Formats: sequence, C-alpha cells, structure tokens
Amino acid sequence: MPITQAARNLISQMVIGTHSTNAYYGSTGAILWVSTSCTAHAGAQTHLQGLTLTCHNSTMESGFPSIATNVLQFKGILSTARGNIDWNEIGLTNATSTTAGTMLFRLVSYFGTKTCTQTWALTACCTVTT
Amino acid sequence: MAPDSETEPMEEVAAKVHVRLHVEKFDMTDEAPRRTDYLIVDNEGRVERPEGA
Repeated sequence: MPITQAARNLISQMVIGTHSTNAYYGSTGAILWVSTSCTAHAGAQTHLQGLTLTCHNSTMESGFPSIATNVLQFKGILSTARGNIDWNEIGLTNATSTTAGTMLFRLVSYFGTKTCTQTWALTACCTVTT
Repeated sequence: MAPDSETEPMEEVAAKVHVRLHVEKFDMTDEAPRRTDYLIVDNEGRVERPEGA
C-alpha cells in the first residue's frame, strides 16, 4: 500500500475538520512529484526518497483533480525542460517544497528514463475502497 | 470496566486507497507530439502496457 501514515493522519483530521485549511489536494494544492530513488516504500516516509535536486514536480492540469464517486484522478505534465531523470518513484503531496506538506502516497517502480526531447503526462488514479 | 468476553466484536470497516499511475510518453522532436509509450503501474508497482494503446 503506497499511502503514508502522515496521509492517514491527515485524512482522519479532515473527517472532523481539525486539519489546516491549506492541506487540500485540490486544483491549486495537489503536486505530483517524480524522482530517482528505488528505496522501498515505507509508511513513515514523508516525501520522495531521492535527493532534493533530483525531485521534479508538476502542478495540476486544468480540470484536475477530478472525482467520480470514490475515484480521484490527478494529472500533471512534465515538459521537455523538467523531470529528465530516471523515474523510479512518484508521489503526490499538497506543497511545492520537498520539506513541506503531506505526501498522500509514494509508489516505487521503474517508469523509464525521461530525456529533454520528451514530454511525459502522468495521471494518478486513487480509488478509495472498503 | 473489563470488556465482556461474550460481547460480539465490533465489525471492522477497513478503508483502503489503491493507486494506479498512468504515464504517457511523447516525443517532441517532430512538429506534432508523437506518443511513444504508455504504461500503467499498479498499487504493487507492477508495470503493464495496454495492448493497442
């Protein structure tokens, strides 16, 4: 499960309204991140594990995030100038800094190596199930 | 007060979040962007490439 303990706690706070009002993963808050670390996911992690310099992010595309009942979709695009690294980890946070915000999830896999002649579109589909 | 051992345990409702990541890759060297790869990574990190995508 790629969700983090910090996200678990934040969601719990959101249920009763004790969270910070800027904690939402909305159209101006949600940030998708990519980086190079292959370190296995652990629930206690609070951000991607790659060095800060290797972390690249994307704000939300127009119309995202979207929601259909219990399925959330977040979409970002990394153009030719950004994210030209080995993509080994992807995460979603609610801040544009690597030292702020709450990482909702982190997923580790080999997505490929992006070069400066490429644009990659990244869509994260999060399904909340019982 | 000590719990009553005869009491039925409360049903646990476990909420889970499953994540699937879709990555579309476009080559930008031509006039129009050309999609060169499309992959989906599931909750466990498994990669699949949809046929005909």
